[in-house]
Amino acid sequence: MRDSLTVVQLWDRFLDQEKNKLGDELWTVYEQVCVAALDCQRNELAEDCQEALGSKFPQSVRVQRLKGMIYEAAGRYHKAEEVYKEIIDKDETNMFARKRKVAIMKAQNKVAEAIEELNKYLKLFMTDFEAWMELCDLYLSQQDYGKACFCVEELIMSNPHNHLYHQKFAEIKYTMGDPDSMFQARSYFSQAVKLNPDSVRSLYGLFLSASSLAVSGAHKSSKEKQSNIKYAAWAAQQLKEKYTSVQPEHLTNQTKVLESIEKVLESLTEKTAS
Amino acid sequence: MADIEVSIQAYCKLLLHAAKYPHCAVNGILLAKDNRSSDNKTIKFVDCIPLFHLTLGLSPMLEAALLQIDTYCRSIGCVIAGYYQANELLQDKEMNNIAKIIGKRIQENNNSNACVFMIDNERVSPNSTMEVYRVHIPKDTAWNVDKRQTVEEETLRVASVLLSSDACKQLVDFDCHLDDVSKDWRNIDLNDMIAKCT
Repeated sequence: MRDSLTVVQLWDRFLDQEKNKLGDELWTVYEQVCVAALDCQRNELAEDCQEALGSKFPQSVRVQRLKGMIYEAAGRYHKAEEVYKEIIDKDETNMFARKRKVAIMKAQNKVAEAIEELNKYLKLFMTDFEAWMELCDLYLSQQDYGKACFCVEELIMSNPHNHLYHQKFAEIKYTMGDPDSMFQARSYFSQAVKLNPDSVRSLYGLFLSASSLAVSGAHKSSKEKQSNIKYAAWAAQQLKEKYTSVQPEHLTNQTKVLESIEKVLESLTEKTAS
Repeated sequence: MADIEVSIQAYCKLLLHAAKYPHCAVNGILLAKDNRSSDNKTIKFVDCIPLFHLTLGLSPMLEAALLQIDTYCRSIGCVIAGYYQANELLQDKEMNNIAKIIGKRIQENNNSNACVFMIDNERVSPNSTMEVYRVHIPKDTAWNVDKRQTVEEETLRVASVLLSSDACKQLVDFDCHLDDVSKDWRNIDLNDMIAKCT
């Protein structure tokens, strides 16, 4: 969880004055304050931290990358790229510098180039889950749902017990909207609920995907339709119980959440009757 | 198109949402008073419901949110008539496909009335003297920029005061709500704080 403002405030108010008491921790603190300062547009503070680190660790690649980030924050992308190229030339396995190159393209709205660079990166570092997720989001920004799904499939294969990946896959399939995708969405939302029964997102996903399948004309049989209504009703029940047990009663009443869920359920049974 | 007014409460919450997540794209809904039975056709946006700061482009959570908000706003005599979005990149204030799709959906459900507010990230500052967004209204199949003012001086003053404080930390959007359903996406406490500033 990034809270850069608090980090910078802590530095300004206390840590800067008490530098001498930090011992060896000082250097990690400098690094963290440097990055936090960049988030808060305090570029001068970031430079001060980087210079202090540079004097202590003159050959350090870790310090050099901070220099690159400072250039990025100032919008000097060519200088930043030079720094990262130097780092990669020194050390081919440096993941960080390669990812910063992707970040630079993203910052300039060069999405196609960012995607290409990130794909190259993942061929070398295929277990970097954060990178797969970032690539997924880049594809989603281009509405390339097929490739976005591929990225999440990689994540699910390596982490089959992580409900968040099943949920993400389901959300993308739901967005695609065609009956086959909706069916897959329902399956993956179900799996996500199985892995984490408390996930409100997965419960809503299951509720809405089952409801959508129940009212769509694409059934092979009315038994399938009935099953979907049952799944929707089950998910709705879980959601209602979650809301009534966690939310204060006045909030549930005023926001009409139970009514909104009921409305959808009623519409399913109406359409069955007709 | 009719005149557009945005209340202090709606404006401030929209702004605080963008300020709370400077590293993310954010979006949300604006509620207007239901004026179908009145002669005065001014669109008065009275409240704002912040939606997401994680992936904006996926449908299921958007549909879950609209389901809850729609039922809620009917119970208070309002309609979903507006949508705002702040893009991830600082200089990007264009309506992208997500904004167009959601804007169109609101228009279809609201008698062809809808406004899309695209936030200019560079104006999210306590020193800003202009409205923080560009207003887009539908015209045939496109969305045109509408240059009329939608807020008063007092609104900009209150917004500036709130931005300088830590108020944005208290804001709850739908993503926060989905992580913990005890959190109130109506932001009643924040509404009180905004009211105290006027």
